[in-house]
Amino acid sequence: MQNGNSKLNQYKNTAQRYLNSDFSLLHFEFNRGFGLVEIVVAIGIISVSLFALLQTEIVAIKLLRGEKENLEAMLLAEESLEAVRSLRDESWASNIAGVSDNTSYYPIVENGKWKLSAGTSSAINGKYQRSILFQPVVRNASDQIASSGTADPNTKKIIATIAWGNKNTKILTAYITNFLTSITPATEAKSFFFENGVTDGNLSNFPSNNSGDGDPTQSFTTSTATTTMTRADLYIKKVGANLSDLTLEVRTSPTGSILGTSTILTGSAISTSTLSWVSFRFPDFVTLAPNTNYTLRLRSIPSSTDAWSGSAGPIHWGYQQTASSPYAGGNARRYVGRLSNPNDSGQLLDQYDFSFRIFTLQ
Amino acid sequence: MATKISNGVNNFQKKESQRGTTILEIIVYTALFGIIAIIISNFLIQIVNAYNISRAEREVLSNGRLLLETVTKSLSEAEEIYTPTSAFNKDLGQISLVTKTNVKPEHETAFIDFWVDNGRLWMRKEGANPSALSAASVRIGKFRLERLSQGLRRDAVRLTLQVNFAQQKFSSTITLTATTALRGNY
Repeated sequence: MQNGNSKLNQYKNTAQRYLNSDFSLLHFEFNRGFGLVEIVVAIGIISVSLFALLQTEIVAIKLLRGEKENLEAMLLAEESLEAVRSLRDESWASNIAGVSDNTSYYPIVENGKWKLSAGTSSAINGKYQRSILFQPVVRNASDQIASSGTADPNTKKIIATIAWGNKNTKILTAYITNFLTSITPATEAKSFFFENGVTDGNLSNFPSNNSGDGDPTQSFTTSTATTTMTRADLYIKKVGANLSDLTLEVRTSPTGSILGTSTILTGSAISTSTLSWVSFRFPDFVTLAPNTNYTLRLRSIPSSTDAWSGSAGPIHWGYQQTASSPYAGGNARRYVGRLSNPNDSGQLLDQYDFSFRIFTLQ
Repeated sequence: MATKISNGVNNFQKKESQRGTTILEIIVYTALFGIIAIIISNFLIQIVNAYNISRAEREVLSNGRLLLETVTKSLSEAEEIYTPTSAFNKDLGQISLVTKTNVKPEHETAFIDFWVDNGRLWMRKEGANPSALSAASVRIGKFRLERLSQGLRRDAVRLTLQVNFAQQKFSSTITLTATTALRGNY
């Protein structure tokens, strides 16, 4: 009883102290141990849940970055298939029929169009390696693609592979057929040309590295009929590593009005090894009048006519030198439009002519 | 009664000693509270940062995918490229396409233009107002078009598209390359 009384008094005292005190913190002294445990547990729960949230976000970031790589790889694989389809569209006989089955190839853009190179590509975007395999196709009695049957030389299976990182791969498979043989598309043929210029030298210093040296030109004469020009091939090669982008113009004279402009060829994709025929296409065809002199003027982007424009080269345009002009139908010139003067028709190279081929619509 | 007095004295003494511990406790509690607050707020900052980074990645990815698909789809449906208003081999290029899809009645063909202005990719269909394809949260760093000609009337366009997140602090970028031949839906 006494014990109980004293305990009661203790409580009373404590309660009184609470009432008197303005320190609510004093509460903790009463159940100090419990308070600490409570705090530790609470912190634990908060930390774990926050950590879980953080981990969720980190996983989300990882997945998104993986997805980004996947998308890039997927597009590169699709590009491989598109490149092969483009090659098929150009010519089954010269591009597809001759490939070796089950041998690795990879597509690259050279001289403004796709071509196949043997092997596996170097890393694209510093990461992705691509390759293409061609496989023969056999058909069964009901003309369906099967595992065994008669070989079909006009169908190929293509397997495009992209490999990156630690054994990540993406593989796309497609079939291509030689269906364009049943359609007779429009054709073009070589009409005016000079092909004897095989000397591999720097005659025109084009595109000039920032000295504004102007452009090289070659003129030609049309035949007795009106023709529609679709393309011009020049016999060129790249010498410098940072070659500017190139485009070709058809003009009435070296400084005359522009009748047509070709598509732009990316300088970095022009072949370096030896002089080769590089096609400049005129998607908007150029109509050429009969018995008329026209000029092909090679341009660079940025322009070689302006000093310090950033143009870089040079290229070699194959030429021939004889005592009299080797090509009777036209003349070669260099330094046309030099130092930003559009009326400067440059220097006549009366002993030289550059190699060219003009193709017209048939 | 004696117990009561002694109790009272004890209580008084206890009270004094408790006062001392309480101040110490306040300091300890404050320090603990501070440390915990720092840890928790640090966690929160990291979570917000991670959220922003993942948002940047997501925006860039979804925009890149959408833009590339829209442009390549339009390209593959197109009949031809309208050269005078197209700019090739430029980092911020533009392209005009002549297409037979969604043409107006009594029209043979329609035009579609794509171009980059002020960091956003715009599309205009003939007769309609221009509309921005990319979101305001991203910037188009590169819209480079390269024209490839595989043969007579065998045009293809190689597109390099780079999309960057607009905020400098949470940088994210994607570079996509695709080649599309103009097939006019064959």
